[in-house]
Amino acid sequence: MLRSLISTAAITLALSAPAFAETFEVQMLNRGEEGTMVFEPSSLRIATGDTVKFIATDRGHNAESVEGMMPEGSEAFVGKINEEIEVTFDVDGYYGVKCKPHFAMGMVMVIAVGDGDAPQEGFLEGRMPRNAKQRFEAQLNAF
Amino acid sequence: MTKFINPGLLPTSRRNVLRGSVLAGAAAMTGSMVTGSTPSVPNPVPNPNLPDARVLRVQQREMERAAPADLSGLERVRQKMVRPPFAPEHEQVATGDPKIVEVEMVVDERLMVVDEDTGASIWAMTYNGSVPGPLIIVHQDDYVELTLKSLSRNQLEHNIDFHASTGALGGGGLTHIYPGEETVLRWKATKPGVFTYHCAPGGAMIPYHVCHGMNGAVMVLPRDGLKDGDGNPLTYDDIAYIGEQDYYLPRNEDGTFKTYANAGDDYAESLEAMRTLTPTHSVFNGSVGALTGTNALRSEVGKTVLMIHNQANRDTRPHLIGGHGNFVWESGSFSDAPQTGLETWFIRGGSAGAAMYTFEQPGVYAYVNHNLIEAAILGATAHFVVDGEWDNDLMEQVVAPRTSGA
Repeated sequence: MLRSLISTAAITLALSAPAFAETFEVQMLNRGEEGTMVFEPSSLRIATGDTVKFIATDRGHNAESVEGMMPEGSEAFVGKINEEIEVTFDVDGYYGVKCKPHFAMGMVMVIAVGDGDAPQEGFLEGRMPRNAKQRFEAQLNAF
Repeated sequence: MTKFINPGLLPTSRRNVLRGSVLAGAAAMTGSMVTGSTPSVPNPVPNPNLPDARVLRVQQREMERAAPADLSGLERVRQKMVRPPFAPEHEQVATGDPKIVEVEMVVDERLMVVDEDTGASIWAMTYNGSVPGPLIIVHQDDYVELTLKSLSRNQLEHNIDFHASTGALGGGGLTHIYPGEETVLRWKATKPGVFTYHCAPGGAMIPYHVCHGMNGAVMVLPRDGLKDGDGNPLTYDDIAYIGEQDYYLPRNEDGTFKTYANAGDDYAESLEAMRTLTPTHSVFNGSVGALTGTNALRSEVGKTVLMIHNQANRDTRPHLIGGHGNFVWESGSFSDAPQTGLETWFIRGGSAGAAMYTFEQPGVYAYVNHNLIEAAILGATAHFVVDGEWDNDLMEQVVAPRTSGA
């Protein structure tokens, strides 16, 4: 009974969701415009309910959320190495994304969901590799 | 009208909306959600299925709650690390009470030649710039207090898992550092023996780092020193510290070895090469010939050497050609009586072992992995050059090779 209530709620939500959700592609690359080991694009603004597909153009990468760099109420995601995951973002806010083996090399990106013009408080305050922090800062400035 | 209900005429994104938004609505209950996945290459690498963050928070809370260890009255000493195959200065029998032994290791990613003849090279991941990392020697009940630093110019995340330690994945869970960071870990050496340590950053990065040279050994001596099976003391004059390293180097189409601009650049291709489980090289102390020719180990007739053999990843079988293992702790545990008079001993991947031998004849001894393919073709050979007087009782060439007429 509870389950059917929840699915009813989900469908109701679905029907009331904005109608034109889109899918964006982000490439995982050994070399791109910003240097080695990059997501491209590395700053991406999408609407609530849009989907991002991570493309394994080069091998050896994954896409996963960075702990402490996601809005409250959102759920962590972790792709496997070489896996092309699609992630739907339903909670507005800023998301830090990393490639696990190349995090220290600065392979990160920011996805802004919704219209918020600044990341949630403390977004950049967690402990992270210097190269990742520098790129996160540049990516936030690019919005 | 039919045009409108024909889904083929609707824009693709519109179809995604219809299908996707139901999922999105369901996902709204839990937040963002992974809606699908396509392996783009044949070999996606599984994620380690670790307990969730709550478990780690519980561990953290227990650490914060724990009573402080009583280290009052313990003497602190600093052990200066030296490059393999050498051992740091140490006592074989401990004097005084247990100590806190401070050691420092610096993570250094550096381009190293694996085989000069073929030009094979690797962005090795090292502790203190050598493969294997330095040998640490303490006594049972001593404390090892490691300061682990990572050079700012490094590219990757590192940590250390001591098989000799207890808790937190061997310290691996408490020592993750990024370039330019440092951390200090103290652990008590409760078990006597020789033990592997290695980097273990998680998932496929573990074999990637270990197979790039990031491993070494700790020797925890009994406080009253080594003993034979009857409890008689055993002492040595020298230590030969040998780290056997299997490398899996990616090749170009023409068979030559690939070169890379940076540590970390070879990740994807290394994973593919490691998946074969067939090393391109298996070498002692980092490269082909590191312990042969002019780099051979030296000893003398009558001297006793303790050969410590570390292999963090793969089984091996050391053999001293022309000699023996007089006393062998092949599993590495000094709690067990040593085996005696062995020809070849077995070191399990992920462990270190020790073998003691007293030289009785001068000349050259080869110390090999007695899978002879690995010794002769993949590089797993070292030499001892031993000075002293020949003993005809043990061996004599009765007739030099001559034409036999047979």
